[in-house]
Amino acid sequence: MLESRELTKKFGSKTAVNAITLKLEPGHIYAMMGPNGSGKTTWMKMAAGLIKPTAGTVYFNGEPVSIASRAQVAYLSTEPYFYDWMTIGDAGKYYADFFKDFDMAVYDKLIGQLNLNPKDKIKSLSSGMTAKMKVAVTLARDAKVYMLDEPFNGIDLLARDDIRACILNAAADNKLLLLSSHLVEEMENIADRAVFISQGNLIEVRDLEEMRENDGKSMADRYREIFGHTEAI
Amino acid sequence: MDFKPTAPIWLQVANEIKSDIASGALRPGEKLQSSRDLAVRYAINPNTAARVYQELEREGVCETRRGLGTFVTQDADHITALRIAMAQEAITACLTAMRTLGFTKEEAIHMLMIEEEHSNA
Amino acid sequence: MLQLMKYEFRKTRTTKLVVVGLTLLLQIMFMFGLYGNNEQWMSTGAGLLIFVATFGVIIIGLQSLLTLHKDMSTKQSYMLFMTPNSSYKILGAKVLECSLSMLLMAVFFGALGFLDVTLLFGKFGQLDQLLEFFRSVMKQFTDQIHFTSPEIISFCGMLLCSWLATVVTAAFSDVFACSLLNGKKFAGLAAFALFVVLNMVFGWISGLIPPAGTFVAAMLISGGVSLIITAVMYFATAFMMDRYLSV
Repeated sequence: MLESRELTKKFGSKTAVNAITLKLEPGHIYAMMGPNGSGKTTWMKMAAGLIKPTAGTVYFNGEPVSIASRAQVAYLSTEPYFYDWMTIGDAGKYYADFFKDFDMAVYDKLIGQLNLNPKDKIKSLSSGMTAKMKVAVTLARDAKVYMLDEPFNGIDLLARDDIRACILNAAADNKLLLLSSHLVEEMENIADRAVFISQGNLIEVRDLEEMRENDGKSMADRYREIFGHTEAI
Repeated sequence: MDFKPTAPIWLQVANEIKSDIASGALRPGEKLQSSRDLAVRYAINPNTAARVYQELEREGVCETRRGLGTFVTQDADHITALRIAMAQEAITACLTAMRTLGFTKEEAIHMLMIEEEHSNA
Repeated sequence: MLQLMKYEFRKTRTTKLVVVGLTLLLQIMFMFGLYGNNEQWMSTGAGLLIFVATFGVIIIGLQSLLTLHKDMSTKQSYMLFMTPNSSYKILGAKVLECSLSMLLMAVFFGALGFLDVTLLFGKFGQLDQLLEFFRSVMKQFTDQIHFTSPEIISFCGMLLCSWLATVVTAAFSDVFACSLLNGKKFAGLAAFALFVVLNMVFGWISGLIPPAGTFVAAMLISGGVSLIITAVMYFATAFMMDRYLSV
């Protein structure tokens, strides 16, 4: 469904993504794992058609990603990006104006479940509330691919529980979810496959239940093996 | 629920459900929650949740009726067998632990009886 | 496209409301002075109205450019580029909204000026002296330059084209500076410098064109040059947005 072939991105002399060939299939929740700066965001932005690769191509359903594929591939940026004047409700209207697959009823339901007030200004929200709102507005789209960049970063336990439930509810056999994180414990149980990326290079893609069953290793164990002491978990 | 990171999650959730069936918390013929609800409740991957029901069905502990959902088996013999099997597992685990600590079988049984009296008193 | 333009308008709404609101306040002040026979209020109101009318249109143009700069240089760029719209469309919406707003604003101030002059005539109509003064001004004006309708139309067309060219050149300067100096503090200043240089270059190019025989022909040529500049700058800007901007 989403595939990158020999995908490379260089920023000046720095190689952010180095010839990554990776095939992701629908019906799975992939965890893209690696320390900060390992190239996760860059890979996702290229797959979302937001930045152009230096070399190689990303394919969505066999076609190179383009402006048109943005209509079916939802990407959630980790940085705050909404306009200063926007309320939670305005953000929904904005998405409804630009994405045919956006469902306002689903958005309203998610906003309610997450205890958010549509009249609140996004700018004045706490980081946990902002994170919840961003996930809601992204998952209210009926997209084929959802890429969520660091959805659990910098938020409290309860907000994380809420977001996790939203993500699990959005998963379906015909949909592909890709979540990036450097927080292993958040991803361990909700993902079924892990993509390990280190310094722009693809290390491996693993089926997590298979790894637990056959190797007796958790994702955290494998993470430690791959990234060693480069980062505390 | 906290999972042991080194055993498959489907196995751990399946054991949890089996123990609920064995204890009677889940009655024979009772409808189980959908695999999506199971995923949300345990915060596990939906494929893993689906695997839980597949395995329970394979073991005959549950049955899926098309379009209706998954139910606990109504076969009383099967549930009895499940209870016994789980009890045996618990005892084996206990005895193994005691052996590791250096107790003989007789000492272990003796301690078990004393413990039982204490908890009843 | 209309959706994109709607949000471009929304982003610059506050500035526009302030300009229009201020104008209306000054208009009330002017009329209050006019009918309350308070000469000081009337003259102050009129003076300030002329001032706001002169700078109002420019301020609205500048606000659109500031919005573009913010959209290019902050993470808010994602709001535009995540949507299934090409950078040509995104830029087009910006240029169109900005040009239309400035045009509407100019028409608004023009109409208001006409209204105020008419009000003055109405009020001081009895004063033959003033009326005679206006008449002589009008007479001088019409005596000196004989405008035919093709001339007026071609002049307005030329003005519109050069307006468009200026807006797009400013957009080009900003996007160029933003792509090259991604996130740098002095990107805005560099954009302004580039804008000035580009205008000088375009002025020089226009100077190379031999003078036309008639007024209409001169206007047509000048408008044509502006349109070519607009097109080149527009495609170059959208191409840069597409290729080099890091969202």
